[in-house]
Amino acid sequence: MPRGAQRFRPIWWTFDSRHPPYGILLGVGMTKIEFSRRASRILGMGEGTWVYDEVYGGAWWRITDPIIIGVAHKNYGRVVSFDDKNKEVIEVPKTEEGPGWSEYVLPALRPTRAMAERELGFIVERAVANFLREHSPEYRRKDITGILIEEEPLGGGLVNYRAKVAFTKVEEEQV
Amino acid sequence: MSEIREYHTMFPDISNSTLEVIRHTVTERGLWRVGKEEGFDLIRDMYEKISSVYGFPTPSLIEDTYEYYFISGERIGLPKVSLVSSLHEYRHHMQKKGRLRFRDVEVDARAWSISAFHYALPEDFDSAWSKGRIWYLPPYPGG
Repeated sequence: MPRGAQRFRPIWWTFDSRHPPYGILLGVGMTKIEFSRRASRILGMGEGTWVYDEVYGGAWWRITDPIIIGVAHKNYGRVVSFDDKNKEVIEVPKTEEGPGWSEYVLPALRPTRAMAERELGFIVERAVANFLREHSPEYRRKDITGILIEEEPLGGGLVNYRAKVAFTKVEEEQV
Repeated sequence: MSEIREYHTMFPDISNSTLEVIRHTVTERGLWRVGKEEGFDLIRDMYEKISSVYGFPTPSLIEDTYEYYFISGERIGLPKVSLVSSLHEYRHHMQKKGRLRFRDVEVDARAWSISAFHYALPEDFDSAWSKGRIWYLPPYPGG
């Protein structure tokens, strides 16, 4: 089972019994206490009654990790995130796979085009790192043949980046 | 995991003007004979000409570690001079402008770029295919 899958299960159980539509909640740029209070308010639950220390210290903090998000999608269907600026829960889009490509969603907080362009290199490296974690040792860095980067504004200054990493077994440089 | 198809025949109807730009860039201006910097300039020039064929704005091109197309910034990154890779990334630019024939954007880009090479420079295409220098194609039929 992929890393992180088991750790989500108890949390889903808690949500499932009270708020089935939401799935898993991920904190964005908040401390543990802030997240606990705000999410509890949204879900109408008592403060801290459902926050699982073990999970919160691990998977929840890794909200930009597409693999964790991918595992959550696979196991529970929907993953939501908390938009701190607008105080609302938003859905994290599902990642996809196709023939010779894998897509990763990299949640980010970069509202302006200038900032987005400056961090393009960072986005590329993140996508590559996630690709390698998912596909190595079968595929290596040299097997990446292209990356398609899409910006997905979510409102309230939040932007997701979708990075579609194409790959094949590269023996020779392409002409 | 990766898909192998007869990508070189999937776009038999690429415009003659586009094919002529590719031929001109390779045979007359020597894309494969020049140094890296000049090669990048030739690709920029090729992008400009192909964009004028379709009436699109020209995407910017920079040298970078990986091949990529940044959709919102209309920016292409390439690590080296490669005709097929540059056409592949350009096809993503065309997709942004509404040109998409195959549902999977990667299949569409592979098919357009490899077909463009095949129809513009058939002999060079055969030679490159036989040497395994075109990604995503099945084994060369000539053995």
